[in-house]
Amino acid sequence: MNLINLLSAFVYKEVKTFYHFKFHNVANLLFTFIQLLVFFYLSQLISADYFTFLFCGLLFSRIFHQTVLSYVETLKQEQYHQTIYHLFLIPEHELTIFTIAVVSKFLVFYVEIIFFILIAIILGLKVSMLQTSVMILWTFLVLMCTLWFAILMTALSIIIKKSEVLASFLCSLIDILSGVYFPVDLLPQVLQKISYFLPTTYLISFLRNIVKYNKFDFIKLIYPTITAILFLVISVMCFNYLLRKVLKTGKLLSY
Amino acid sequence: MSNICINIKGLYKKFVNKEIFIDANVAISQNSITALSGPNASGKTTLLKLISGLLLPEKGEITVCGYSIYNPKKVKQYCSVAFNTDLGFYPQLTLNENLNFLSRIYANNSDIVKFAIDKLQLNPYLNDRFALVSSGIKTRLWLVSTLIKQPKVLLIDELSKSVDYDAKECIYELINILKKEFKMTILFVSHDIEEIKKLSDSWIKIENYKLVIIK
Repeated sequence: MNLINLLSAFVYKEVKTFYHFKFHNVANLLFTFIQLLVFFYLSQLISADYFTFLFCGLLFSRIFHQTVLSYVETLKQEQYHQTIYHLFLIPEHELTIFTIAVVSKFLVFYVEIIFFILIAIILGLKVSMLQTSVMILWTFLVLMCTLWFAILMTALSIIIKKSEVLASFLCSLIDILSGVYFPVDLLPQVLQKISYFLPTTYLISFLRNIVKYNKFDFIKLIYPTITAILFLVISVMCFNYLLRKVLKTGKLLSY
Repeated sequence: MSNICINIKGLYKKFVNKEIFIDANVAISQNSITALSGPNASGKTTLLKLISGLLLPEKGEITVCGYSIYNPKKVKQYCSVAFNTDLGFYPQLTLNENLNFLSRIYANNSDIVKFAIDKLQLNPYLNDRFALVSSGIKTRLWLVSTLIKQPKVLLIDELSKSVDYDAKECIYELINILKKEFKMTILFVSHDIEEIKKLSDSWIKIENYKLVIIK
């Protein structure tokens, strides 16, 4: 057994699930379209530039939420359907299994991301091919830089029931503090300090510089990258510690 | 060379304040069929989870094919478990899709699975969604799914739960074939004394937090 087989199995499952829930998925794309349309018209009330600003924030928010919630929800769903029995009998590390399950979910999610970018372009977002390509690469970087937070939230969800609500709340809070909807300068001084401490602020700022000013400010990526590496080690250690703890109580296998 | 396949020594397991096993010991031979019985909530399923590495004990030593459960990769490579639950598969997928998912994980399309599907008469249900099939079919699917891995050790919780008389006979035949032709070591949980006598080479009972060999 190898990881390619594992990925192939999860991709197979996701494709079949996508097919079974095709109306749900079409409705999801329509919802994405309506959401972007609402933000487009709202941004027109402020300034023409604001839509570009908002688009960058919303794109980040979608990827960030998907990364974090995919992990937590995958664990919860596998517990709920008790398919976790099969998964935890696979001779691989539990985190590897979850990561591959989440990666396969991203293959379907990227259809939504491409759709999101296309709708924004139709609504008047001006981006060159180079900017679009960098934007796509940036989405992978967001995934990598927020992975530690997703693993940490999953580790928490091992011991705290219904922790998906907590994960969702924290993601929304980070959205606001990172400047997804409005510039962080508008926040009170205390919150601004927290905002500049968050690596996510720099990830959004990097994309805005590219899309708005065609400026590739790679310096902004140093802080998110360093924190991602450091916290990834810590979050994996937390996950392993808590996993071992719940393997004694048996709570991991039940929803 | 020892022919012990599952070895349990000084097992101590508790959940919160409820003790399940206190200094339990047992050795199960290779290529044998062993029945496990005991009162409700005595720890039968817990024991299967402990052997397969899905649970860890407070104290004691469990080895499967010579590997400690603290080396889960090896134990999980050799061990397969059929659980006693009406869940355990993706409800939106058909039985066939669920089996394909597991087959892809282990890159295995071996004849043993096809043989088991035929033997347990699952063919007419393969294109039905898992959520819509009966409990008896789910029990049979669990059994087939455990064979995908081609395990050396097969643990089965409630062997013939919810299945009709004919299907029960088919399951017994399959279990005997798995032992004789595929050289598997099988440990199954059952409350049915007739079933235990008919099928098993040895019989272990859980009594007063210990594992007692009856046969």
